[in-house]
Amino acid sequence: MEKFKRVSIYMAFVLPAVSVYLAIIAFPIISSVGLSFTDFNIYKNLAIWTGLANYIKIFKDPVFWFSMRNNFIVIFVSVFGQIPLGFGLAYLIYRKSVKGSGFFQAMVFLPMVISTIIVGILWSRMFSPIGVVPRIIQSITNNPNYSMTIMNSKQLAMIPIGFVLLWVYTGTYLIIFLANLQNIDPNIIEAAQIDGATDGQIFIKIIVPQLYGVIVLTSILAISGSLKSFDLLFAMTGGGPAYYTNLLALYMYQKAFIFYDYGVGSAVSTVMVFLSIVLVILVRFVRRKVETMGA
Amino acid sequence: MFKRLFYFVLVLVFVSSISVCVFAQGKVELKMLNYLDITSPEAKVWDATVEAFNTKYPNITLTIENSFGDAYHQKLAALAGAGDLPDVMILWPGGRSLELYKNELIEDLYPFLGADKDKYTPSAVAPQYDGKLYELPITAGSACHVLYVNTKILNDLGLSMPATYEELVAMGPTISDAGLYPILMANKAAWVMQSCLFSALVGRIAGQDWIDKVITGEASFTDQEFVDSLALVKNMYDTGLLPPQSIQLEYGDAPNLFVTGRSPFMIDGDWRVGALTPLLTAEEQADIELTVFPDIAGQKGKSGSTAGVASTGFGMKAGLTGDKADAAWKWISFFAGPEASELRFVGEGIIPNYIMDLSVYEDVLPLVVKRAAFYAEVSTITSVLDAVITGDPINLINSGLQQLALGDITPEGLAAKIETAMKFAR
Amino acid sequence: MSNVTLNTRKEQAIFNKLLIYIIFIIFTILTLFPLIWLFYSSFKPQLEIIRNSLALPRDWIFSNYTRAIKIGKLNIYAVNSIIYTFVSTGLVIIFSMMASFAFAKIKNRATPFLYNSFLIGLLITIQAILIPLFISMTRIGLRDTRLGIIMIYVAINLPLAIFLGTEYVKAIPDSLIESAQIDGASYFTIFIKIIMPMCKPVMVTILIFTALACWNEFMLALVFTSSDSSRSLPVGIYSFSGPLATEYGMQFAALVIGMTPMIILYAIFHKQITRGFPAGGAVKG
Repeated sequence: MEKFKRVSIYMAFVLPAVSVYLAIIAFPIISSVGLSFTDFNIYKNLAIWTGLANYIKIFKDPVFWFSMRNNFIVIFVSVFGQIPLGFGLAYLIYRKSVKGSGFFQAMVFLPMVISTIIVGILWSRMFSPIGVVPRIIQSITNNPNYSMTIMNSKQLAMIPIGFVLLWVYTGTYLIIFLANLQNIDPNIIEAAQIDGATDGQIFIKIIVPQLYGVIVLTSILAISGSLKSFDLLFAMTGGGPAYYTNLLALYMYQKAFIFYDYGVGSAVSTVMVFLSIVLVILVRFVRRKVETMGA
Repeated sequence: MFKRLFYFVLVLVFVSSISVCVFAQGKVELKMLNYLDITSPEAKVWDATVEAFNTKYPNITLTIENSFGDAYHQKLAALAGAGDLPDVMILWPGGRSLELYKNELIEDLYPFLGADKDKYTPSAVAPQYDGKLYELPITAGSACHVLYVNTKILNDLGLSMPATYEELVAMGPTISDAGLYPILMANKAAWVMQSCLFSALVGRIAGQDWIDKVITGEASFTDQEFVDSLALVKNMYDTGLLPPQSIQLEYGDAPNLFVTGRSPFMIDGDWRVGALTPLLTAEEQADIELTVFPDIAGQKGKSGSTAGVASTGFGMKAGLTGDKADAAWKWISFFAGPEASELRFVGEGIIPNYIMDLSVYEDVLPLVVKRAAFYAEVSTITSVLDAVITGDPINLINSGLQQLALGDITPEGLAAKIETAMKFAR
Repeated sequence: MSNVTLNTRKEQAIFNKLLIYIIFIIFTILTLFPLIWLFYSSFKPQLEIIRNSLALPRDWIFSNYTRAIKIGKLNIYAVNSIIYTFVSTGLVIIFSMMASFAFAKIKNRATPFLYNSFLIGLLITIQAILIPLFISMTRIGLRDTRLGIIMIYVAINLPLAIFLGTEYVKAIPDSLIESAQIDGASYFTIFIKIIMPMCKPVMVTILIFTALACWNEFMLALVFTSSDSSRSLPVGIYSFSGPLATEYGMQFAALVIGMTPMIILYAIFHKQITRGFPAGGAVKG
């Protein structure tokens, strides 16, 4: 009876969240995975089973692989750019290395507050041939014909994008790391300082290990965010020129909504989810290894 | 006593419900999906058109949703899939709307049109697919390729209209030395180059016959004519006629730059007149000429040709009956009819399909007049590629043209790729 | 150790401090410059924006704003955005705190499965569910309604909220709950009287993240809404960036209108964001 009561209270508490989630997220995901094995004609609402044909199609498409390459670049920038940067800045603020830390904190986080569509439009205007960035570089280099041709390059077009990504997302990681830094028990630090440890040693031996969990968490967030990345590039380049700044989410959008090939679109999104899960497992594996090594 | 009251109330209810029905019969609601960018100058003409319709037919209520670009097509497809198409919507004579026709989701308009067919130019009311008329086009055709020329700048530079491509290339250095763009084209969106220039080039270099043949397979994309067309585009970039910035220019940038005098030439669709008129004074408009690409050595097509598409118009969803169908047809015919056509001609220079006398309109803006004159001078209109080719091949053409411009692929290489994709699609 | 190029430790310390200041100042400039540029550009007439992109306006005009609001119907859309943000955020906080409490403190074998299902939600892109959801919502008749949008916004924000909430509640000592139970309190009372008051910090964090997400959400609103009564502000702003758009002045004004509310919200609440993370340092991955 006691158990029954507990179970029914449990259900009462989780029911609102679970039912909304089930209806809006779970069922569509499952039907989307199912769609990926079919050829779906939206006009007739008719799905014909085609097995793995859609997957074979995308694996043969060089644009798919190039988009994935771009996604990995985004992941790289996120995990090895935004996270260390966010961590570093958070640490500096935590150590009160600058006055007005509240202001600077706000400045780094501010871009997160703006809708990514607005950010995308804003930066595409700034980088455009008639925008401010080329204008500034023109006056610096004294070359009146300069324009951002780097955005045309197959290899390097992602660089300006990487810059904007850092601009937007570093703030989140700063906040997360700062919050966790502030929650570290100050007694431990004091004790170490009394023992004569330098700042560097405290950082490496105490602070970082305390934050392993957070580093893992932020890496997971970064990876999943990178794989989902869509709004920013949709507004900035639309994946162009040609497909040089395409991403998997954009590729999926193009297949599903411009070519009405929903089967293929669903296949791409299934691949994306699968990739996320693999990478997340990888990150947790690495963390376990590091912990057992360092302990 | 109560019994009488009861019957009295019953009769009252009966009578009032009938009269409510009768009055309700009067008002019909029409759901519409319209293709319109509300921030564009065309929006004002649209508002006036809707107002005129409401005045003429006060018992029809229009529930309008405006959309444009990919969002429009995607919305329409999703609505189709959910079985919830709007009553009337803007449709294309082929291309993106083809799927709707193939799946029998749109009503044939010939029965409604009936004898009124003769009020419109013949090419407009020709069958669109499967022998049926699915949308009533508002204009005879829309040229996707127009060479806008700012004659004042040309004269200031000591140049004159080029008659051949070689002459155009020779002008390039003079123009760039003056700090201007030789030719303005907003090529950030991949379709612009293909629609607004490349199609016309193919029509000029290879000719309409070739285009018809390559669709059926009698000709191939690896034929010399097509490769030459690709090579010409590459040449335009290599010689600096199209500077590398072109690929970074957003579609909206071109008219803005053109009106601020940054180039003597702009290549764009004829619909750009609508964007240019509010930004130029009447005198400035007098300096602008509309023409087509100069002659190219060895061209098989006719000199002075351009590429164009049949126009869009409204159509109605299949299965409408009674008052709804009646209201839908009233809107469709109104939109293509005399009152709306007049608004469009005076406001934007669109030449109506509806046969009417245009010389009575005097207070028309210079550019509008020139747009009408443009069509009189064009020798022939060839097909725009994305209206007759769909799917993977056209996608390859679009993105391939950008890669060609950046030197990441050769004309021959691109042609071969397109042919492979086309073989698959045929 | 390598040769130190600075002579005294004091100089080293000053140099370091200067470097740090420079880094932060660079960030500040990078953040503020685009926003300031956008702001003053929105007061220029369109042709001036093209001709002199960098310069300050010669005359400050307001017509971009009035036209943007009028043509883009931004006032109606702003009201919708406010409704969506408030209601969705409120529901997310309530639903997620309830679920977090259950996951963290009520033993049940379903918890790992349910909790991980929510976490997978963090990995899902909106596009993946777009079409199936569109079709099913149309069939039920909830597409293009405020209720439909609110339901969707709640669902997509639950994963992060439940994650943050569960971790936070886990850190509350079991002893508190047990002693209350001994005193005869029901789970419900414990939830209201003990858990919720203690969870204020995490609720604020959830509030901020969810409010931001709802206010700025674009893709779903674009696809799912048609009528003016349900369209949100980002959709209205996007309409100024259409393929035929040439009116940059209005577009900039619309962008400024879109950003300002959230910037103000952040200015008010920025200190509270960092308090919503669990005490005790590391988050158990």
